Amino acid sequence: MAAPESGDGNNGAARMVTLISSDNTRFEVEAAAASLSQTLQLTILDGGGGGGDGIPLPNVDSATLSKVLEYCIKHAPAAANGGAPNATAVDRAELERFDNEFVNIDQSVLYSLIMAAHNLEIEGLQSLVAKKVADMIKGKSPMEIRRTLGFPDPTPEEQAEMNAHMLEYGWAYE
Amino acid sequence: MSLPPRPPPALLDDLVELVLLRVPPDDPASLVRASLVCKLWRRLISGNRFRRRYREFHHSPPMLGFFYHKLSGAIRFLATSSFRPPRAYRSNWHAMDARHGRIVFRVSTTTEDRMLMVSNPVTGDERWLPVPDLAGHYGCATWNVAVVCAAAGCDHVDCPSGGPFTLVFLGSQVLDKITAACTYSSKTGSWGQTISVEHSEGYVAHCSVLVGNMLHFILRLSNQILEYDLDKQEISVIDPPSSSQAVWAAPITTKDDRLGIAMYEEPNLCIWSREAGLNGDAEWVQQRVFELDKLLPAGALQISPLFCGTVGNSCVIFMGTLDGLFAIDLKSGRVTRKLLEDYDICDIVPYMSFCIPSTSTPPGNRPLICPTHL
Repeated sequence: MAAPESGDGNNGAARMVTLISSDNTRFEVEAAAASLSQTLQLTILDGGGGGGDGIPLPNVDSATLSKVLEYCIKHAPAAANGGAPNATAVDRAELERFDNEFVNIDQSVLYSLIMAAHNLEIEGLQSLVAKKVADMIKGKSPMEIRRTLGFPDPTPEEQAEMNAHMLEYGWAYE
Repeated sequence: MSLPPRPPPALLDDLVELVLLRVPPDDPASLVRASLVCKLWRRLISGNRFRRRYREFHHSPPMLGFFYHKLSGAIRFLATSSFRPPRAYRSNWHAMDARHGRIVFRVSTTTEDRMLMVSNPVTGDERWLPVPDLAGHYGCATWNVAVVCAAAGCDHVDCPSGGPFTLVFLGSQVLDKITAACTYSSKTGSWGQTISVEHSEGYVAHCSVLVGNMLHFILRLSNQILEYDLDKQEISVIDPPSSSQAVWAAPITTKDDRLGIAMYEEPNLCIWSREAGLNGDAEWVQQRVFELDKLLPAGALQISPLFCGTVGNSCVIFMGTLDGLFAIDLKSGRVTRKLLEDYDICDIVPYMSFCIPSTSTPPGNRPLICPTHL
């Protein structure tokens, strides 16, 4: 059993915080990683999340949170260096490789991730997932975009309007 | 038996903007198609808020493509993005200059050059106007024209498409060694007073660059630069670096946004910038020398490369060689090989603009006010 943390942090060991997902799973993570979230950073700076308390995250389920934390843990060292003048090209390439693989996931997970990143204000993650979804739009027709992003089929009225606009912007369909 | 796959959940409206901001500006076709997905997306993309955030996010307008001419005169557009100009450009049109989202064409008839057409290819806005009297008065052997946004307080990142513009027209009389200039204001719809300046032997050539509020043109033969002050409407002559024995020269902007000059001194491209000297007077300082014989493939320089144009304020020079068209980035020294195979490319006018669908009538649907005989 871990000893309760003293209020003013740690003696060399990294300070840990506990996050609690909407389905009541507890995640213990370094404060530095959790602080990639602007929202959590404030709570953590106030001394929250330590010991038995934990920070409840009622909008994020455990599957999504574990994915979010995977991102935060990987990016925390670079973020701690403040964009890192001393980050080597190798480090950056490794992060890039990680990012590419990280978003290579099912679409429903991508959506949960972008919502979680939005709620928790994790800028890098938000940007990464949004870029991935933007890539998914590339080269697709409006109808294909609708299908890809889970819109219901358009009503005949909507379809007629789409067709009219397509005619007007013919060059975008060449 | 497995169930059919569940459709993915619809993207939350709040997050649509985050995604659409990340459609790259050199892929406007994707943005156009996205704007046709549904009413909400259309409203979002064509709204002022999205437009503002999109240009903040991407900083500077992308090159959508460039107009170019073969020595035979025919005009073409080479797209460097997914944008396609929605109207056909006729063979008697000549692209003269593009800046701040607009392009100005010279439209020739069989007898003389007599019309200018200022167009915004993204919105389809077009304005036709006559070439000023100047050409007649001075018997200009050659002339050039530059277009500049005249909207008050505009930062020229995404100039208002229907906003005011200024044209600066320069015509040289080779024998008298004089170049005359006058300015057209779209606000008044008329050409202003003609001013003129004496210089060494030469005539105003293709290409101009804007540095601050000064437009710079180059004189072929003397390689002098003509500096036109848009505020004061004054024109003055800047001598080229004295040491130079250049085949041709082109005005450029340096990486710190000063006036520069690129001079081709076989086989080197020498880059100079205009700096304040010790006594306060401006002087030329050599910045860099590119050994083109080492940068271009063997055979490309069998005859001197032709200067074809520059990319606005991005320090890129286009050169036509026997081996095709090359672009050299003066900041990095990187050479983009063979944009085109043709050996007979002359004037190039790059077109840079954001292309964000708006609620107004899209291109192709506007009535064209075009003189019927042109």
